[in-house]
Amino acid sequence: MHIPDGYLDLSISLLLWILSGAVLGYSLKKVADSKNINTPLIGVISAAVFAAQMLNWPIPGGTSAHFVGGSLAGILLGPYAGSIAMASVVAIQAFLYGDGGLIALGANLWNMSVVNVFAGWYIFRLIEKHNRFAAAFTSGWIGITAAAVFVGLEVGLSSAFKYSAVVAVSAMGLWHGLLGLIEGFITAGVVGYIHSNRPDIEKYGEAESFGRLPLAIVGIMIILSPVFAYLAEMVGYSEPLENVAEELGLRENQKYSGLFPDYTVPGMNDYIGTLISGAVGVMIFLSLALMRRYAPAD
Amino acid sequence: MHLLIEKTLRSATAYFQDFFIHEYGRKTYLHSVHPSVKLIGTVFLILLSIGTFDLKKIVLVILAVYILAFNTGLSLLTLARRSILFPIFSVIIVLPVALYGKNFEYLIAFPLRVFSSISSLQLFILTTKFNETLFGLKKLKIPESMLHIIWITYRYTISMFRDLLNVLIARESRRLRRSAHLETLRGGSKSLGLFLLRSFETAERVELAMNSRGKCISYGGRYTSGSLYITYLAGVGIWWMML
Amino acid sequence: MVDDALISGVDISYTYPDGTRGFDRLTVHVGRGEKVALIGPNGCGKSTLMMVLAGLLRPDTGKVLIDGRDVYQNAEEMRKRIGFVFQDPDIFLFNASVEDELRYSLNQLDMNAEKMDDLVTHFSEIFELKSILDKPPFRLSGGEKKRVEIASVLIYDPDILFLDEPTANVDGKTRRKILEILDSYRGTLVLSTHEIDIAEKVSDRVVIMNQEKRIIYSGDKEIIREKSFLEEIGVI
Repeated sequence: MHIPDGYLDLSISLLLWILSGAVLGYSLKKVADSKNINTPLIGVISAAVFAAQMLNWPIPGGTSAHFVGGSLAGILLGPYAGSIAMASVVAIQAFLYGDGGLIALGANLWNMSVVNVFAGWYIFRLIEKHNRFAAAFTSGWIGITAAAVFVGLEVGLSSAFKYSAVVAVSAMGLWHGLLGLIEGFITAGVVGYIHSNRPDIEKYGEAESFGRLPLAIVGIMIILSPVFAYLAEMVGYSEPLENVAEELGLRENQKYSGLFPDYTVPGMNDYIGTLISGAVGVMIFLSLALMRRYAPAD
Repeated sequence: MHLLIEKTLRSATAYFQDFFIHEYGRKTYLHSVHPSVKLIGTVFLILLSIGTFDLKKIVLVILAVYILAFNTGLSLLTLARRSILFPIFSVIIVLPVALYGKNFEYLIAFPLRVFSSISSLQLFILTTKFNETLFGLKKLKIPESMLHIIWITYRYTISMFRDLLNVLIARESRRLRRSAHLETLRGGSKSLGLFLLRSFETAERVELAMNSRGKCISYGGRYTSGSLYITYLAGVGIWWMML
Repeated sequence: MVDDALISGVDISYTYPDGTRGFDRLTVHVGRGEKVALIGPNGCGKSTLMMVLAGLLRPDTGKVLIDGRDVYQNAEEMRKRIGFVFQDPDIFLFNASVEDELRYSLNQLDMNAEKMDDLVTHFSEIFELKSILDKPPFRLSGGEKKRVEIASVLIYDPDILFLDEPTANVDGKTRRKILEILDSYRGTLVLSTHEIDIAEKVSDRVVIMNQEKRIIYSGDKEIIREKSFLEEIGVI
């Protein structure tokens, strides 16, 4: 579920950073205004979700599955605080474990802390009136599957990843659609347990009105994000850095020649080229040598 | 339930080592570089890795990362071991499409890009404590309330895990007959429910404690501006463009 | 003593996944029908040791045998013989009402309904739970929770009973009740405590652990009268 760097094109990564930033930024503002929800609450519940993710559920056939908890966070805390809670977990996984990349972090935040949480929450609220168990089950199941489908879409639309979006979406969707049944079952179990033992806890997830318009906007953003990604892929270019290099005329059938660039830069005056190459060599060696000297004593 | 606890304990052991990764190993030059600079530097290295499919360039970045690590005294083996899993997985994933398209350069370049990016990130992780990372993010204008939440999450994960474990063990102690997978799921999710209820109570106590002690979380420290690190990366960057 | 031990843990160690050391290379024997009190300061590994002895956690090294059989490997059959009372009743009680708590273990034993009702009535009388049978456990006071917890364990009649700090955070009435129950219990009993008088009243033998998570004494309970010794290791 965590996309590492190297799978997504830069244009799609940037787009998803912007989308995630917008939704999470708005969620932070909503949380700051909330009466029921406060930062310690979100932090501790995130830690609980994180701990719950470490459970290794045995499933028939000898393998095991992990609980992700995106929908559950949405149900327990409401979509805004829930998305912040999941964002906290995803950020720790990236910065402490390297699960998922840094450039790809925007996409991972989008899939796991926005798509999963908001979709899970919408579904739960939609079905809850009819049947709580079914609502929580569907929420957990579809929430995680939706996140997986989005992973498939984003990776599939990227030109760096040679499979088509159809292949990537089917692979991710089918597999997580199956594993998602366990997510649904556990989500339903937890929600049912809390409802029958401490219904007062549910106040965090539902007491305040979340505002219809912003929720609708987030919903539309989620649904349209693959379209944006497609457009970004059309407009943008997957390897802008190489573009820059080409623009600067720095790349012209240069053959690799030994450890160091040939002391010349093609397409440029020989003198300047040699100067730049020499400077690069000096920069690298000198900085490396000095780093050894300036290592802290302890 | 038996199996759930046993499997969880086994996988959690490996997971928790990262919480204390900074207790091992000695300090290096990279530890002293300001975390914001290191964050930007890491993003730069990843951009260099994923900005190309040219094998020469990718190898250049990988060498740059590992030479940097070696030069500052980090264990290359540790760095490689922490970075290798996903690239291997990636080889398997792209194998069919590469064989089908007879695109063998892609089969090598794609996983190496991933390896290069992950190594860059792992180099950052191995040389930056988690509170320093948050300090770096704060300087990069990430909202402080978000960082607060992340810090509390980090701070409480281990004690929450211990609590979850106790809840599971207590339930296991009351299991008097064999339980099938479905039974484990049912019992396990009830335990998880109980654990989450307790978490809400913990949260209320933490909030009270923070109200009484003040909510300010202090992190940060004294760092060098990292001019050598910046110079090195700039050199690598220019070379990358010239290749 | 070692030859006819009911529970024997030889060379056992346990470390938690977060790296916290539970205890290291301990050897413990408990005789049939013996009442053993584990004494030691907070954090000396008493709780973890009891969980390993009861087969709830698998030791990293060594083995725990009950009647010569590995307790962890044969968890299913052993569990019926072992009762474990946790220090924190809130992690132990998870059912919707006190009555459900009492029935929880019985329901797993294929017992006929009549016998089950009798047991529930009997135990709710002994433990004075009649008036709170319908209440959800989390609404109860600390002392009530403790009584429900112990009743829920004793109701399926285990012949080995582990109690982790049974008198921590309970009122005087519950404390007297617990002592009375433990006094009349006829099986093998292992309890951890840092209250000296409990150990003195209940146990035949004491095992003392120190802050370094080592067993420094195992034998006659007379030792707990030596105040200076107990102060030295941090129990009192």
